[in-house]
Amino acid sequence: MFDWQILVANQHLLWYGLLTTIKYTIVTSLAGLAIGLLVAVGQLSRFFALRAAGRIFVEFFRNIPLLVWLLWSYYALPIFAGINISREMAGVVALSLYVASYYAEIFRAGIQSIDRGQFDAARAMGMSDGQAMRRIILPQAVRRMVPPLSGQTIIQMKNTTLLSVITIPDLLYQASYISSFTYKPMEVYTAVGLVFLVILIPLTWIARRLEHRQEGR
Amino acid sequence: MSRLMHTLKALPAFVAALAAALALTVAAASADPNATLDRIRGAGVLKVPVMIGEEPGYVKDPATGEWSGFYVEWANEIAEILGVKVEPVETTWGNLAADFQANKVDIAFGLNPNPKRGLVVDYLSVPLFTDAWAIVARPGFDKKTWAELNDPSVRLVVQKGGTMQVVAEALTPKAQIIVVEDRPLGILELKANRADAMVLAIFDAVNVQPLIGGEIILPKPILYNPATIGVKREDGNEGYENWLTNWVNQQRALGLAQGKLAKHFEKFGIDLSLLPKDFSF
Repeated sequence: MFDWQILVANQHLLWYGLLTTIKYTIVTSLAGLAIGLLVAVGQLSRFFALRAAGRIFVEFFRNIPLLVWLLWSYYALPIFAGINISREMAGVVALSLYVASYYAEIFRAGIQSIDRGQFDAARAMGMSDGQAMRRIILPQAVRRMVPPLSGQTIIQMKNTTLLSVITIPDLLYQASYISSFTYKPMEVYTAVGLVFLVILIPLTWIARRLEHRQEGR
Repeated sequence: MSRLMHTLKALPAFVAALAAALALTVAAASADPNATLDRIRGAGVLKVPVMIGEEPGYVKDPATGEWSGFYVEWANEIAEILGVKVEPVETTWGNLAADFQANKVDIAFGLNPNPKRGLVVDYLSVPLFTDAWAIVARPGFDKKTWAELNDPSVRLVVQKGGTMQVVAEALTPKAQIIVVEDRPLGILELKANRADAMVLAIFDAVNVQPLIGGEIILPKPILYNPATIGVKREDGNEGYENWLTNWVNQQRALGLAQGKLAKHFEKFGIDLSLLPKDFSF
């Protein structure tokens, strides 16, 4: 009863969508990691202004619906400031900042989860703040961060489907395009679901392995 | 120090002069009815919204990604007279008003009357063509008037946010109204036998009918639905609107619009003999 032929006939559109989805996942995750690290460092700073700025960043992006934020990124700048922003730019900026807020919390929690006494001990042995961080705290904290970071990156890949609202040709947008002229939505959306499963199940498996390795230590 | 004081004293006068100059520029800009036309010709492109799922008005070629369809052909003709090129901007009906406000598009085709969108978008007062509201019914469905459709046993599909939702809620409030995201999902409702009929513009109905195998019905009284052109509401668009109205009137008067519609329907493999006999466009 399913007509899989239409998927074969339109596979170049799906491949293009997959490429777009992967591209946005990688670019926005990397940018998000960099921004998230900065925000986390800000939140752990001894300066009140930096702590407050980090906190506001995290709360803003964690609590705004991504769909609203995406539309806002694409339309608000040209409407209110007269600055033209391409949909690609709006998509990258919106998704990067959004995921950065989650990454920042993972970094902050990871660093804070290492007992404060270790830091004090390192200082007592004559290490500087930076040395204590690099040699003692971060090696342990990073291991704890890996599972939640990979989990968040998997969510990020699924979040890229919202890019279709500003007509970026990701997998989901391509799916609605194919279904619009073939009138076979079930086949197309099923295929997109399968593509996500095929990509993400191995990734979650790797993330789990990393988690077990960490527990084994 | 005294030089600084001198400069500071002169500052307010300078600011005032600047403001006055600015005010003059603004006044001059709003007085020029050709401002929008000049902007489009200066940019060298006419930014036209295009959408998927709107065949045969907009057709995106799956192989090349290029756009065609009768709306695109009209856009090309307008651009040619202006001496500019069409730049397709892929968007959705829901985002269209924001596209205008954000200067992402210069014109939109096939707009149905909508006072809410009309608050931010200017509509031409002449229709490019006239559509009518139809239903595509499952085989064997025999209700022919809006009054008959207004019955709790009738299950009607409409597209979310579309004008058809307004029509159904106004005329058939007693029917079971099923709201779906897009046209393909509406067809799925009919195929799954969860609905009796889908409310559609007649030109979309002729497109959908072959997939259902049922009948196209123009429920009485016939609701005519003019489709026109929209442009951004802004100072200086008077010349642009006046020129477009002139163009639309010529399209209608010489039968160019009607001929183009017929040509594109045929090209897209739509059988216009499916249209009910009491309808012409």
